[in-house]
Amino acid sequence: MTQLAGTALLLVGSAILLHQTGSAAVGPVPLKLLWYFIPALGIKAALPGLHFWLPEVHSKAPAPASALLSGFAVKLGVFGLARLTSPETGTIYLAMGGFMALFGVFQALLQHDAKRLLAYHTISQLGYVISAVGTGTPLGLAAGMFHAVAHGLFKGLLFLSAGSLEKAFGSRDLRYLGGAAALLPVTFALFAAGALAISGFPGLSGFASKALVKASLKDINNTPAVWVLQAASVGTVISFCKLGYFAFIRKGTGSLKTLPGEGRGSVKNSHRNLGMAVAAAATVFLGLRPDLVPGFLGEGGYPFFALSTVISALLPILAGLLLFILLKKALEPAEHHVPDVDNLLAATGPFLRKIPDTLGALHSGRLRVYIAYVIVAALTIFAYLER
Amino acid sequence: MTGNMPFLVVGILFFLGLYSILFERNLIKIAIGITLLEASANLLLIVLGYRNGGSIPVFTLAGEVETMVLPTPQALTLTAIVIGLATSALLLSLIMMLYKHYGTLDVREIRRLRG
Amino acid sequence: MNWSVHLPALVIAVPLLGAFAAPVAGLGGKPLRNLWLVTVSALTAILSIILWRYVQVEGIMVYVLGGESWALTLPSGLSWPIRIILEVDAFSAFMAVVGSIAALAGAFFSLRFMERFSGLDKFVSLYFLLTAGMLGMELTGDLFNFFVFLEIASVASFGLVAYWRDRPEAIEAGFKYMVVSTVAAMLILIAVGFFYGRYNAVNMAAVARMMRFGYAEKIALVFLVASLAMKCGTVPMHMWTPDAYTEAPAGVTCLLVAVSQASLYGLFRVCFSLYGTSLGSSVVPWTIIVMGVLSMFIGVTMAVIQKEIKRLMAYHSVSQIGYILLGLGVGLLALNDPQAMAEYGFTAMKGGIFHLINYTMYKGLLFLTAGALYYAAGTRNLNELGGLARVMPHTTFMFVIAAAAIAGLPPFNGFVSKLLIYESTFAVYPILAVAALVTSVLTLASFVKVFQTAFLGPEKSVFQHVKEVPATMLVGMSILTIVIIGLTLFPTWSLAHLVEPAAKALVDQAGYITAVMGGGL
Repeated sequence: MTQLAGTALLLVGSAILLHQTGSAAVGPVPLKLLWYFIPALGIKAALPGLHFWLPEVHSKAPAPASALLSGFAVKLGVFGLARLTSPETGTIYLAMGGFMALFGVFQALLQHDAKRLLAYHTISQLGYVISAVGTGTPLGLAAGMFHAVAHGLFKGLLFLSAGSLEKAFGSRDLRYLGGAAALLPVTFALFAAGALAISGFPGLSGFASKALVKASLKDINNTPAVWVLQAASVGTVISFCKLGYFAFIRKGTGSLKTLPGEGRGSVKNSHRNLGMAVAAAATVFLGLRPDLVPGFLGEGGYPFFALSTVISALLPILAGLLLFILLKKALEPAEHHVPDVDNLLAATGPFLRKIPDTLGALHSGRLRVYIAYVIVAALTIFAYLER
Repeated sequence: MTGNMPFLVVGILFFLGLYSILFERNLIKIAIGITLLEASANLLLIVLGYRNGGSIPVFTLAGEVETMVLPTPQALTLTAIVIGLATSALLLSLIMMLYKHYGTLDVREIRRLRG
Repeated sequence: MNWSVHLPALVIAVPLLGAFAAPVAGLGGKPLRNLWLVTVSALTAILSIILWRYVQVEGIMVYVLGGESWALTLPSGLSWPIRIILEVDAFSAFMAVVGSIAALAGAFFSLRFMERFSGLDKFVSLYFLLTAGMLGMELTGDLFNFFVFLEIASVASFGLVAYWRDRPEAIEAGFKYMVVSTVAAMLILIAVGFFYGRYNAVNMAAVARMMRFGYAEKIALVFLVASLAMKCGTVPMHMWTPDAYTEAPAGVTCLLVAVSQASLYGLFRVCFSLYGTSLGSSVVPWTIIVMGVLSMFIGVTMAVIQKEIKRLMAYHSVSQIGYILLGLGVGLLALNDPQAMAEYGFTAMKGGIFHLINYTMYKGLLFLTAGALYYAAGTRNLNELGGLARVMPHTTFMFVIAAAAIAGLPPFNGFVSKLLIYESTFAVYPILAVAALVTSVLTLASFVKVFQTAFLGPEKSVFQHVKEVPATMLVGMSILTIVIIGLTLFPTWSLAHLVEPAAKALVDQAGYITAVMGGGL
């Protein structure tokens, strides 16, 4: 039911997007109309408050679908938002982006379902993209798009590894998993590549794109935004330490076994690893040669591997690792409950069901009532005509 | 002198028909209500074509009588009566079948199709 | 002599003859009767298409029944027409083509589908009467004649809806439909009486020329709008629609969809050609728009919760009618304002009229596929169906096409017409476009549900014996599929040649009047 609602909303978003690209020239829109477009595209781009469908859909959909969804579908919304940027919208985007980055990562920290965790990270990473787009500078736009592409790749990789875990062990709940690294070493290695990339480890795509995002923010002298994003990075590192530790490294409860036919070296597993390896290769490649990304940078290249950028990327990673080691006990996966808008969704379900029920009651099957409807309708028209 | 009397009758017939369709429970009475509606419509057409003191509109009478009632409404009414007959016949046969299937003529109980 | 001047009369006469000669053909047994059903339907469709071509080239056609000459509209120097006149403009001819194609598809489908019933001679008669009534409504230029054909179509459809007389539900649906629609027909008759009383004429063009918007005209307008809106199944007067569409045999439902379009045609003929510019206020356009939005929304909401496949589709047709009403209502809103007409009104009308043909085609096809499912699997309940895609590949294919078209997925024809409606309504009032979009999304959701439950999923052991439906049923369905694909592949051509002339004809009230009344008077 929630999935249906989520999909329906997704479709509303895409339909409006279609409508808009079909009828109006796409470009900066007047501020007045913006309030039609931001919610419409924001649903797709999972802006805070409109993001409720994302964790639900991700945790229910099969892993390849999740990978595609986070790789492309949400990007459509961001792309639309990017095309609509104008100076007035910039500040709104910046604020939203920063909030999304922190909020997503905070929620992610509390999840125990691997895919929900990843889904909240999608929100957080989109925060980066949107704040980069919000700068309104060409560099910012390029940074946003680069991060969107990079995110599509490494998040796809991460979703696929979560899917592999689920296929292999029949569960993706961090409370029950553990010790998977020993059973599925290749999967673990690929997961690690994705996790490092999302944390912004130098040499992987996330590093390059995050560096660009930060550079674009510094360009417009918005230091607070940079710090917000750095903080979000720390959170990212912590939560991926959590995912990696509890799913792969921690000594399992002992009862953890691969399902029959799914173990290490099985055909299915190696096929899955092959798919993930492609995404991982692209991630590494983008990270090593970010200057090759065509058309993203203006005339001059950007010094990706300058000392300062590397340090600024490594700082949150170190901080995150440190914090994780300190807070490991507190992060033990458990049922946390944090108020979020998706709780509202559950409440709207019964309410939504009331509408067709009420309408259904009107179709009572009573012939005389039907005729009364006709007469009432005619009289209403007449009353208006006489007015 | 007829004046507006016929129109009053048309109105009364119309609302009587509507009343019995809306408030009667018996299917046959609903059918009667529909027939009343038809009658009111037909009467309206006839009355509209009436000219005071007019005679029947027959071609051979042309020139012999001063005024004729209008022929078109009479043709219309005849057609409408025929249609009304077909409707009533079908309506009554459907009512018969309904009675066979549902065992009742109460319109309130014929509501298997709903929702 | 050029026989094509008789086309308007022929298009109606052929199915009428088909109806009354059906018992004779029935004497020849099943093969002859089936041949008769198909031949006459095909002939009607061909004649309609020729008529449409002819009107495209020659402009509005008038045909005087029973006159000294079939072009003499004003005999003996009179200033008003006294005979029954058929008047065919591009919109009428367009409607006739749409209706007769649906009738042909339904006829093919019914050949095998109806085999399980008895009294097939009467079925053929009623089927042709319904066709003739529908075409008559679309081609006539006379208000009373319109009423007569409406009643012919109605009586035939009552009989057809209640055709399965062993089913209590079928009788109930037929009875309810009959009572509601007879009341509506009486309202139309009274409205015709009002016109006669005021203008001594029942010819649409003659009345339109003399139209003064007074009290009697207002009452007549309300009667006409309410009853015709009821006949085409508009919320809140749609209650008979799901009942009747569900219980009628599938081939008939396909034709009923086209017949409801004829009522829609009547509604717009009344609004555009009869009242036209003398409507003055924007109350009637807004009434139509509001009814359209209500229909769209309530129809689709009810459809989402249905368990029975045909009932679900019937509620969808309520919702799709809403789109057409919305499009043409916006066009009517812009009728008095040339600038608004050029900006969005004409686009809206094009969208509405294009949606009309699209709707008839894909909804007819959907009802036929539902009938095919019922024929093959023996149930219409979605909870019982499942896994039929493997055993019925052709039906599945056609269902997918129709469902994609109704949901407005690009590049299907439904998308094109909906896009035109969105665009134009957005210019008037964005909230209307949003309502239309939401409806479209819910439509898609509900058809995905149908597709998933009926065609996909595990094969059920109950349906092991199920086979693809016979060839003639597939032929019926493929006729509509081909039209849908054609409209999908050539949207520009269809818009330019099918839709635009029809929309122009509807707007051109003066031309409609002049064709009968002559320019000089």
